[in-house]
Amino acid sequence: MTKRQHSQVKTNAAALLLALGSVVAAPAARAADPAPANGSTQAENPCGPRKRAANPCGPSNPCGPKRRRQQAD
Amino acid sequence: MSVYVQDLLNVHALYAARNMSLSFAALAGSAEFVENAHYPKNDVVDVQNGTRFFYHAHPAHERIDGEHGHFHIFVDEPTKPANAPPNFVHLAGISLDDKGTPLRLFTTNQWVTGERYVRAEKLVGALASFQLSTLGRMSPVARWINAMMRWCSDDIYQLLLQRDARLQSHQQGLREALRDRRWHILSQQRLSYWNRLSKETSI
Repeated sequence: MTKRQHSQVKTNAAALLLALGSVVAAPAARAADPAPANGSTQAENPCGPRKRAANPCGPSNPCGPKRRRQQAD
Repeated sequence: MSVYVQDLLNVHALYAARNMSLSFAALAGSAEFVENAHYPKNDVVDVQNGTRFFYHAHPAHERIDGEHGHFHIFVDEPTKPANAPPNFVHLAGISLDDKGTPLRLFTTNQWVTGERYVRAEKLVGALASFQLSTLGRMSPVARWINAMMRWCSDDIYQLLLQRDARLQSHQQGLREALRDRRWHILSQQRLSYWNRLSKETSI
């Protein structure tokens, strides 16, 4: 990078900082609505990423075989 | 000056030209910002590079002064055995103010994200080769995060080392340290972002 390009970028950095002073500020975070009762995962790992798919071997067994119905008497 | 510095400046310039900031863009088009919600809703996931991020905010009393929200940045576990299920590692958090200026870098305890804990030494490669990109609305945000992660990779590595040292100091050992709810943020570094950018771009 040439000296001229360097000083242009430096000017850009200063100009950007100035420009950012006048941009619309992002909305402030508001409190969440009351959490549903099943928000346990969020509480366990409050900053965890979204899971891509439900755990196929987890407690709810979303991919498990259908259970046989008990014979009615 | 690195290509990353140029990327950082370009992304700020792009949003400034639209009269908006990086922190506004991080909300992924949402008109409101709700504590603890993820932005975007399903995170940004770069499947090809095994990286992902989202933006959110904690309740006000848990934020540092001037913090609008923060990014959490993850990478797929680099040391995972071939047949093991996919897992993720938290590399860093980046706090922003409401104009999109990053205020600090930080690391978290294992329970905070539910990550697979991997020692800093084993994350050197993941930091050095970090790549994150996406298409669409969040593309410039991803480009900015990619540039930050590369530009600050030494700082993040030091923070991860400090995190490990803190965990090792736990009186009940590592296993208990990783799930100690009193330990949330394990290391952090304030950033003088614009000063540092100016120095990097000076002759």
